[in-house]
Amino acid sequence: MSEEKKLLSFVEKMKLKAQQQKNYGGEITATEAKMATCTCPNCGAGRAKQDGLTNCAYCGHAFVDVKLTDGLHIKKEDNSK
Amino acid sequence: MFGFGKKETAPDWLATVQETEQRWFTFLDKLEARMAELCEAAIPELQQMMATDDDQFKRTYLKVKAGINGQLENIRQKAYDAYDEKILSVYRNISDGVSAFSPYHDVISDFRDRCSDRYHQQFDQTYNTWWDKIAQTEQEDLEIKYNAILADYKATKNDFHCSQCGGNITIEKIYFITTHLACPHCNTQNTFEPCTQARSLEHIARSLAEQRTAHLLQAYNDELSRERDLYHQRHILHLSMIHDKIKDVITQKKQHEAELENKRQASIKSAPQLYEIYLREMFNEWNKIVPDIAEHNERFYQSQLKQFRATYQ
Amino acid sequence: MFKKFLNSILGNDDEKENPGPKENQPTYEQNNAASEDAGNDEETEYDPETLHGTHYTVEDFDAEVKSRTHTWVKSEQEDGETLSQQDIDNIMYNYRKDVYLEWNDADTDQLVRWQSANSMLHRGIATSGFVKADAGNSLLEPIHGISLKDYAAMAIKMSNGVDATAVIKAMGIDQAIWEELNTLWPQRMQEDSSFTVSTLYGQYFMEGDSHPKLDHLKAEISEEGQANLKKLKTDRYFYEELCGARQAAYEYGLDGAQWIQENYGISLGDFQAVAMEYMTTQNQNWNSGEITKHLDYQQQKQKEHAAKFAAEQGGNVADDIDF
Repeated sequence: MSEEKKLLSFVEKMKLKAQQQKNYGGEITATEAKMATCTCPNCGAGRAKQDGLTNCAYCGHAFVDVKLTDGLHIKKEDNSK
Repeated sequence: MFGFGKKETAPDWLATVQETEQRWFTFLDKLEARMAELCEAAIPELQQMMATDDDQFKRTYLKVKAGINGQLENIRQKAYDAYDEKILSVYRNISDGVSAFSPYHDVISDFRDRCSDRYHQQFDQTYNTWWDKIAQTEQEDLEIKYNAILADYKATKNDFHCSQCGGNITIEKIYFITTHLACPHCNTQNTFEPCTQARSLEHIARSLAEQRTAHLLQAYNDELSRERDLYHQRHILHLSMIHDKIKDVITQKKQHEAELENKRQASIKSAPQLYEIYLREMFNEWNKIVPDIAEHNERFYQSQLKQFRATYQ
Repeated sequence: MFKKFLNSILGNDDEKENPGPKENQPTYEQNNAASEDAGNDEETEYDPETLHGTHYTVEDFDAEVKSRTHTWVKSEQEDGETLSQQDIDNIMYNYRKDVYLEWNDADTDQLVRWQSANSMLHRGIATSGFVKADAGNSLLEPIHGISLKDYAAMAIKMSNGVDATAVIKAMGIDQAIWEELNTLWPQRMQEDSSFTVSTLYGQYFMEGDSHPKLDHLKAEISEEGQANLKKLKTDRYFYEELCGARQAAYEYGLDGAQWIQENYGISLGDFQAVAMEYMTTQNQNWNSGEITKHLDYQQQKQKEHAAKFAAEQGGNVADDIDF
């Protein structure tokens, strides 16, 4: 086999080996964008913007256990009163 | 006393040295040819893999690229080991027994110099060139990716509806992370999850900004090279004056030297200004691509600027 | 002065070289040469925090360094040299080293330990194993109630294969908050020119995925994996071999982390936690002899595993080329 053919075959084999081996963390599937609401698992009420993100305005259920700070889109004002 | 005037016969090692040098050159020629053959076979494959690898992180492409680089490194290591075992050892063994006054002293040191030059200047350069060419297969025009993100955003921004009241929610800008958006009709908090493509905006932004301002960074690097070039020109001129005797020639050379130095000082002054122009523009572009992180980016920019200024102020 | 004369002979008179008494960065050879006369440092007592000798005050030490720096800088400036802040910092760095070696009869390993313990104070840069979480540092303030330590614990759990949603829920946050954290904590690391945030993050990584809110979430690990992980933590040579093997795997076109997972049952997160632990204790107990021994062993094992990978692929491309 000519050197050129040998090396091409070498690269092909390396490519095949790379394709066959799983990647760490597994395959990543692309996802579509989506919009959803989070209703209170306790009383079924929806969250209104003025009621904040952390607690249900009707029954007090905690959606999250933390106090929000000024982040990227989430702000301190998003803490429920 | 030192054997002056006594004619020295050709030493036994002369033939060994000549043969070793020949074999070294042939050995490096073969290794360089093999590097070229490997890379010429690999580069088109890598380019194709980069273009067709569906994986978000191009992991299959990266594995093969690492494997090819591994082979280049293997070749480099072969040259490194052989230089130590076959060239330097020969040089050390022989030069230990050769007097500095021997007419053959230059023969052995020239042998070492030629072998070293062939290795460090030519072979290493060849290795680096191929390494860079393999690296270049990873380059992609990020404007294409960015335009795809923009196109997808424009096509879908009005497609979303509030899960509570069904009213339309327009996505006002490209969100690259999950974000709470209030329905403009019923004020219910909805959770918007961007698609994978939109999420990638955060990760390509800086590289795209650097791509757009690469010419400005190149201007800075060109200025650095210009300064080095002027320094070397002046250095060579300065050395050439050592044996000059004619007054006019010396005066002319000194004048030329002063001109070169003025140009070099101007270059030293101008280079950091060019880098600061690049830095500001690169961050400006970055902020255009992801305006949501502009506030953070300003702090990052100030920190980078401060660090850079400490290197020359 | 002598260095400038030497530079002049060599034609480097135009060079704005670092005019300090030594080169910019210490190499081990330079340190060894500098401390050739250094005797044993067993007789010197060192403060456990600062690693300064206890036979002088830090104030006196700093004053001596400042004085020597000032003298040199002044003489350079009087000779018409322009020095940047970085040049002055480098001069001071080298004098600090000189004074430490002179005043303590220390060997180079002790010098490195002292430099690491004081890297923040002297150079404004954090070193792993010596970073303290300063309450006043605004870059370490929790983001949405999640501290850097919390964030590190979550990241390790996820990289060990635990479902991300379960980790997010266990920490009492939601997906939107998590994704902000994953943007904002790396931003804090970016902004931090002292590398405190990123170094502390690495130190927290050492603690593995242990966290009171996350301990009940177990990553899947086989019995063999458990045994190998235990060995990795206690047998330094086993750790070095796996580092070498992983590197060899990458050089032969394989995903090294996946190869370790498949052959030893150890996840990347666990591996990196162990790596951080070794690196940190190495910094705290700097011993160049031990470091060289470990590195040599790793390289030897890398070569052995590389030979196995090469055999699997039919050899290396240049096997037929000999001198």
